[in-house]
Amino acid sequence: MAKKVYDYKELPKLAVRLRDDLKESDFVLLYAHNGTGKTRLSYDFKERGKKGRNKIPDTLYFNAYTEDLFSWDNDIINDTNRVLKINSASRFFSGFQQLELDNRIRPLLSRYADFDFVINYEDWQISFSRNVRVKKLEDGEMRESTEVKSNIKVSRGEENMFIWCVFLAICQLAIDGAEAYNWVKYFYIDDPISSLDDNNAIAVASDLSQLLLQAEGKIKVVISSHHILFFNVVCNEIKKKPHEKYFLYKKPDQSYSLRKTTDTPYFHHVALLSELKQATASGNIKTYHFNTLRSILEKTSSFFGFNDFGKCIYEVEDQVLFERALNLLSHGKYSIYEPVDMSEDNKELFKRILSAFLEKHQFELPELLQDNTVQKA
Amino acid sequence: MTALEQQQLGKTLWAIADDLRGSMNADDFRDYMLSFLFLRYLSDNYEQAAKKELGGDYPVLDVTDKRTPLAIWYEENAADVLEFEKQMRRKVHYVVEPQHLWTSISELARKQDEELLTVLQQGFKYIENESFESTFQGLFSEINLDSEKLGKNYTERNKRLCTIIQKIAEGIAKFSTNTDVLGDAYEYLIGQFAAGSGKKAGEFYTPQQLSTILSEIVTLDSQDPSLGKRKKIDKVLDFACGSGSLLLNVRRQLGAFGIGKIYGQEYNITTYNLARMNMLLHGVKDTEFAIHHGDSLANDWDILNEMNPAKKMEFDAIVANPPFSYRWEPNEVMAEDFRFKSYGLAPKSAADFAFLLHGFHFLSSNGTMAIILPHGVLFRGGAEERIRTKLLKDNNIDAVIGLPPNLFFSTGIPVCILVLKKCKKFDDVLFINASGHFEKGKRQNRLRDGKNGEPNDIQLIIDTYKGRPDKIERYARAVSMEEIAQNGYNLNISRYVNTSIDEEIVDLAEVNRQLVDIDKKITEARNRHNSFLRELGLGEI
Repeated sequence: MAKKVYDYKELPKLAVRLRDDLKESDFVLLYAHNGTGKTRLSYDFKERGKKGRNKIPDTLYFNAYTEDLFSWDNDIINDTNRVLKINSASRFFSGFQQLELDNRIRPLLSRYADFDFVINYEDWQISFSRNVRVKKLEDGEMRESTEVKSNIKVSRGEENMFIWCVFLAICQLAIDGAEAYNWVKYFYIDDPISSLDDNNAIAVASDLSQLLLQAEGKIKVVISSHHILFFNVVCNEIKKKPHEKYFLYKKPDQSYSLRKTTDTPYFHHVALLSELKQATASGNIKTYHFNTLRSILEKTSSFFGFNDFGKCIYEVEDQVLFERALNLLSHGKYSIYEPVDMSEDNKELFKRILSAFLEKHQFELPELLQDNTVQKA
Repeated sequence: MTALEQQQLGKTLWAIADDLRGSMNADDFRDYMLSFLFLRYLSDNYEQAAKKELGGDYPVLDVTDKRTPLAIWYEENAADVLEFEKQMRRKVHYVVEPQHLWTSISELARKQDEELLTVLQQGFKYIENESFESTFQGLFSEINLDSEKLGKNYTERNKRLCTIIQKIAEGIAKFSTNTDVLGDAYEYLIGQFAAGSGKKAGEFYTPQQLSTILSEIVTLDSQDPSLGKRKKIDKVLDFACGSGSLLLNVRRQLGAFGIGKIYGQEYNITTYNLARMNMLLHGVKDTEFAIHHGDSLANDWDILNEMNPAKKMEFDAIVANPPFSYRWEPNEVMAEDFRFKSYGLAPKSAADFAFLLHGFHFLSSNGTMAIILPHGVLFRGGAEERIRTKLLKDNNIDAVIGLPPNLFFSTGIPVCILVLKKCKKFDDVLFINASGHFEKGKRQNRLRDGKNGEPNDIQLIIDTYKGRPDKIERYARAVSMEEIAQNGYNLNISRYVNTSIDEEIVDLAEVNRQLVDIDKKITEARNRHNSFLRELGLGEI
């Protein structure tokens, strides 16, 4: 059986491994929780590219830094001319003007949003507008008309969406071999949109996959995400192409572990559940495990349409347990970074809730962790 | 009717459209609105011709009688109907049944008649299939009167249509319309609706000011533009014609008899239908134009695929505003295509040059082509550089006109006009840098037309093209091929005609002397001030 878990002391080494993987595969998919170091990894991956013979970057990346290329000028003095400024010095924008990017962004944006934009190429700034329907009394009659509200401020989510569309448009150009982006050998996409609702997550993921499938043989791709749904959709879309799938996590000693998930379908919540089961079996239960359990309960209850996550364990245990659980599970201060042992009676309670939950809902738990323990042993 | 009134009709109709469309997509509503206007035009035109044809037999109705005169005539002269329709076909090229006439339909709307939707549907079908001798198949194919968008069920849809038609009828009734006015209102609406959409990749409604520049240029004498307008153009082509307004603008330049035949091609089916209606609405007879629904890049129009060189289609004037930086999928077969073979293929990311070469292939040896393209075509490298170089070396590029930013709805990309010729008299390239000559608008900039004493940006471009001066400071210059070659066949306009005003030369010694002088004055003033303070027994500064 092929080795499935790889340990790394530091991220740059991990970045090298990803580059090695991409010699064989077209895609590397990386699942990791927030705070694992995904963004730093994407940065290291990009920096690694510059270490080649030519010292020229070879990676077009989308991560937290990408959003920093755009900044708002809210026109505080007049409060009318609100614009998004572009950092024109970035290579990201090398084809912005000569390739008329706004024509390429607009069709993408209209899939996800209802606002429009104009790029002022002279001042490197973008202004947004939106059509609104207004009612007015005219000659004694109520009349509707459409008005354009210009220079508006868009919400954080809309802004993210816009920047994402800019990135997609540039990806398309790189894939099509446009001269301005012929330095691009890799796409590295780290968590496209931080606050996606589920519908958008699916739309974004499948649109992205469709685009990236065209990159085959031209540009290699790394995608990292903490968003399960997004991750799963991408996995399904590209599963027929040569790819590697990993679960990246940070170990207590600050080193990193990369776990292959190629053979088993990747389902985040069941992986977590088996981790919890493992914890209860070994008795090594930390306070943050409550948070993990709660998040699974929340997801399960929202899946079943319950208005309260308690209903997941309701009816199987007594009222007292339920209330106690609710109370304990509502804590937000348990940190995954500073694991604290649970008190003994809480451990007992935790075990009862978990087994009650697993009894009521028959999950198919993967054996990922057993592989892990075998490796460690 | 004055120009002001014309504009008002457009505005009135637009207000009705904007009000009634409610939550309906502007593009969807446009198609209903414009079809109704078209029906109104056909009806009016037909009734006038019928009146003339029947003379004294044309029934005169009482003011209170809401029937149409033609319906009465049909009732009373059933036996002659066939002969009458035959005659009408000969005269106006089409037939409209009395019950489908606008007056009948709008009367149904006024009465909120339940039958309106059904009658309207029959009317559209009749016009499509039987009215015209040459086929107008599918003219209303995209007009779905049974659409959910109009209402949930027949009754609701019928009610909605009644309202729309009634409002249009009332709106128009305030104006004394002749066909020209209705045509202009139609175009005005197309422009207004275009402002509300524009979500499609790179497709933009050409502003009338730009249309005028293009059509003026292509109607000038091809060998020597300074000789002025040509008397007649045999064939004119727009291979990305949209709703046909550029073609109509060319026709306007030369008058109704100045053009042999108008050819247009359009990929979007609804726009293609609008173009056909637009032609008829402007009084272009169905025999005077041919509009093809298809893909210019794939060249799927039979008449442009004639293999026999003797029968090759050639056009004296070609105008186009193709979609900007359109993404296309060229393949190896395409590389062998007769239009592209000797130039190479435009890159996948931008079909601009593919469009240009398509049109250019069909340009006659004494024809002129004017095309609006994004600035990128002037300086982008790779395949586009090779195509550009070949065109320049072959002396096919006559003029490059740089335009101000933001002339189009919803795109700020800078655009230019390229003028191409197969054989040209001058061996240099005329550069006009008009990028600084415009009136700034809130959402969109405007080329001024010289009204009310303002400068005339449009005429300046045309006159400069006509006169072809060697040089106009910061505006235009005829540039030799050697200089262009030295610039690596890069046509970036600012390399040849720089609009920036040179910075004043600063004499540093002089500035220094002045500064020292000012310092001296400051010290003097302070000393004087302090002496006063001292006298007053106050602290010095």
